[in-house]
Amino acid sequence: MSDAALRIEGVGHSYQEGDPVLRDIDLELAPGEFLTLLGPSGCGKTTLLRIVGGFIRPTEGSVFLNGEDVTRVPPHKRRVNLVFQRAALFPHLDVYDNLAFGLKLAKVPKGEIDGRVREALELVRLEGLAHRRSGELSGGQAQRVALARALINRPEVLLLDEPLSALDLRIRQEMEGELRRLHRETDTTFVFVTHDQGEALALSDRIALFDRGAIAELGTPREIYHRPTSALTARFVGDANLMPVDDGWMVLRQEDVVLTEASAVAAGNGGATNGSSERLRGTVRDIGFRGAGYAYVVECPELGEPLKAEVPSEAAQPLPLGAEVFVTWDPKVARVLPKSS
Amino acid sequence: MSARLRHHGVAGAVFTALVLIFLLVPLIIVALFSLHSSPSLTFPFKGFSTRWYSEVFGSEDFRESLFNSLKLALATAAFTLVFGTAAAYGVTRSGSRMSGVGVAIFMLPITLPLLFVGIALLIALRRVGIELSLLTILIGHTLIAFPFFFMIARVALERLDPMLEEAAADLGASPWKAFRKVTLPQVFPILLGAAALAFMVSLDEFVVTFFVSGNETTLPLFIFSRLRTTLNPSINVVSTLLMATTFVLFAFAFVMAMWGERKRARRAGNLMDVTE
Amino acid sequence: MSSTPAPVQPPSVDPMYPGAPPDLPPAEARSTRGPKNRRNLLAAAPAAAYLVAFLVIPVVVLLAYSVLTAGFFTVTGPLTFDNYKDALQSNLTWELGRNSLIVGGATALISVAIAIPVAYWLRYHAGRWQMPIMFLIALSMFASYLVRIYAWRTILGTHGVLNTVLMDLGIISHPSSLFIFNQTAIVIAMVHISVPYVMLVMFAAFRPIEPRYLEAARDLGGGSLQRWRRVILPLIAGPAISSFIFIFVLASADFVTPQFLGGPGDAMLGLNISQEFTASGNWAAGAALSGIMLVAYGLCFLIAAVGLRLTGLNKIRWTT
Repeated sequence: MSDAALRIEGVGHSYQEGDPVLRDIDLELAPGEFLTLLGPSGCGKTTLLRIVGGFIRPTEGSVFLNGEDVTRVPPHKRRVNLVFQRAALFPHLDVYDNLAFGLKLAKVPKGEIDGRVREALELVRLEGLAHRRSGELSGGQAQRVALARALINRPEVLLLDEPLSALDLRIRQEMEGELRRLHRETDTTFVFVTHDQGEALALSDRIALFDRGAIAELGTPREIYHRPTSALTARFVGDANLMPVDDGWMVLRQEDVVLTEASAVAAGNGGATNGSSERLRGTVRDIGFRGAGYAYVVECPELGEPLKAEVPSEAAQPLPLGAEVFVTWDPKVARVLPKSS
Repeated sequence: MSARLRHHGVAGAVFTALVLIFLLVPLIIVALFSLHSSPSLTFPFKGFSTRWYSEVFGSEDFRESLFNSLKLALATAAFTLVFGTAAAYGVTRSGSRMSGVGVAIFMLPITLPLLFVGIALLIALRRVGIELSLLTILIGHTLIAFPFFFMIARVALERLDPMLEEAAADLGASPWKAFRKVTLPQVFPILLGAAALAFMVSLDEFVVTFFVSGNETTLPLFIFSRLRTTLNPSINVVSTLLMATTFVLFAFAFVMAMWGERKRARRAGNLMDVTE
Repeated sequence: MSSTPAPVQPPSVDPMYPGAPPDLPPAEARSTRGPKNRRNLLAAAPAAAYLVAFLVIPVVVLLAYSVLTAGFFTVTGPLTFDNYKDALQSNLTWELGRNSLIVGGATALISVAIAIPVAYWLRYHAGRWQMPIMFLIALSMFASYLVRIYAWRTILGTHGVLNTVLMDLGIISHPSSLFIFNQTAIVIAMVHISVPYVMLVMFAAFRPIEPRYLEAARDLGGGSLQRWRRVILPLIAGPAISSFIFIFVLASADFVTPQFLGGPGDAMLGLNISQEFTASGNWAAGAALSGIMLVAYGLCFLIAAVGLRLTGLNKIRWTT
């Protein structure tokens, strides 16, 4: 098979202050793959991205692009391009010159530049904006130009540093679809950084979940969501409930929780229990309507933290605030995970 | 607003007005008497005349001082523009602890009384056997003007969005190219204003020039020598010319700074405020 | 930040998984502010070399001269502390020193005392006059030093504007020489030169103190004096003290004002030093006097810095 498009070997990085920000990272990306680096702020994902981009030289380890060691190569000599969180378009240049910037530096002939700029604008569906000043673009438009500016150089790997987080919600959703389309149409390897697990699940071929400088979990979105191998993953992706058991945690996703009103069960009608003897008592502390379902927060005396549950809204009447409930679940869907180290 | 605060407001306004009068009236008087038809420097004002202007411009000494001052000022501005920008770039883009030392060195001429700068330079030059000339004056001027330019350039460079230079590098620009194509176009108005400031500082410089000038005169030295002989409106003429030039340059620098700032703020703001 | 509205999507938060350590400092936030490369420091090297060559080294030479023996417009070996001894034992030195101290102190005090109320008024009461007035003040700062001394020379002189105006108003019957050739005249001119500098610094100092802080102080029941002492003073103390020292150094080292506005007994140290180097030729003596002044200034800086640190005034940071 062909070489990995990007290979990260044993990369670690610490600043002068001492604590390592990244520890022994190993990753391999196939050509054309969409990999997301996911994690909370401070976990090292952005640092890794910047190392791949060439802006940081790692204190340990190496980076290989298509088999070539680029660890010591400065950013302007690497065949990768970065899309910044806030577009970072050059304010003194218009859209055309922004797009052509990299091409001119690579001494691409003028005629070809014209063609490629037009192509790039079509790709991001901004035809006709070639001579708009960068200051006059909306947030979404600017981000598209930034994408085009990066892709026009046909990089080996495209790096994206939380490009959607500064955008309006609605535009963000639109851009998610755009990113998927661009990935398909250009067949470029994408490395995408975000702290939003929804984006990660929606866009990626694989997700690398970061925790304090190391990769806690690596897998496809389905694997990570349904079969997390650590409590951290379960909690971070999907905010599952974690209940302490003997030597670990039991993971129970919010949509797998079944709530039945205690009074209903006692009276002998409704509230089918599903043949499980596992149940807890609790009190409903909060209810939120989410359109498709209700989000409950239930306080159970045996658990250290409140339990969260999602119940489809057509199923039944919502439980009243303060109601005493039984909490049950199908033992088959609950997983037990070891305690995080 | 409470009554007391209103009193504060009025008292403050009066006080400020008095201070402004104190600061500006003496200068206005100097300018006024440059057009006096008589040699007297006090009221009553006998009438307007440009005789002193003719006398001054007719003086060989004056023309030479003027010429020298302009040459020096231009050279100072050019010098600080090039070396000051480089210094500011080095200090703001290196992320090293040494840059603090650099800043201290670059601001040194302002922290020492000019008297000491002048005599130190004088004896050092004498020691090495360099003759006092326009060149030595230039050295003095560049020393004095440097901190002013450096301060402004440094702030301008630090306020630039650093992501832009990263983006330039990412797209293939070497550090020099990134500076030329991205950084410089954005700070240029401010740097020009700062150079105008350096020009002004050189034009007005007296103390250090006093020590390191040989036979050459500059405008301030010309004033000084006349001060010791006779007091008449010819001194006012030279003073007024200096003030007028300073005024124009200052206004220019001010406008440049405002323009550069508004351009930068508008662009940066536009890209960000559409997100919410 | 909020999540996408797919069916079962809780808000994504920083992990509060069981056993999580307290939130890490955002290492990534402080990683870089732009491409930093230690090699870029080289760009500053030429300027630094220039300043070292023409300023740092000459000052060192100056100090070296202070411990060498005087020649005529030169110095020779051997090393000696005689220059310092002579300077410190001479009555003249102390007299000049006293004058310099008085002029420097008075100028600094008056300038700061003037600048603070003006800066305060400009910041909180000036409204749309703020910028034009600041502009005018900055403008006066750029009028040449010598021009200003000349201006006061003509105004305060026996045949000057002030005398003429007072006579016209009938306040005095013949010209008074009270206004010129004394320390008052020197201080007036130096204040005229210094006020714009201090104004700019104090205005900048007042800038971050939003009116709402003062209102909050008032709401909490403080009287005017309280407000000043507890809120305003600590915040402007640092800049005020720095400007004071800056002006003190500037004014006390001056040698032009004593020449043109001072009387026979008003000479200052700076004048003496400048004469040693231009007329008298006793460089070693001049250097020694300079050394003494520099040490004195150094002590002032030190005391101020220590004072600010002890009272914790240098640690005030804005949280908003």
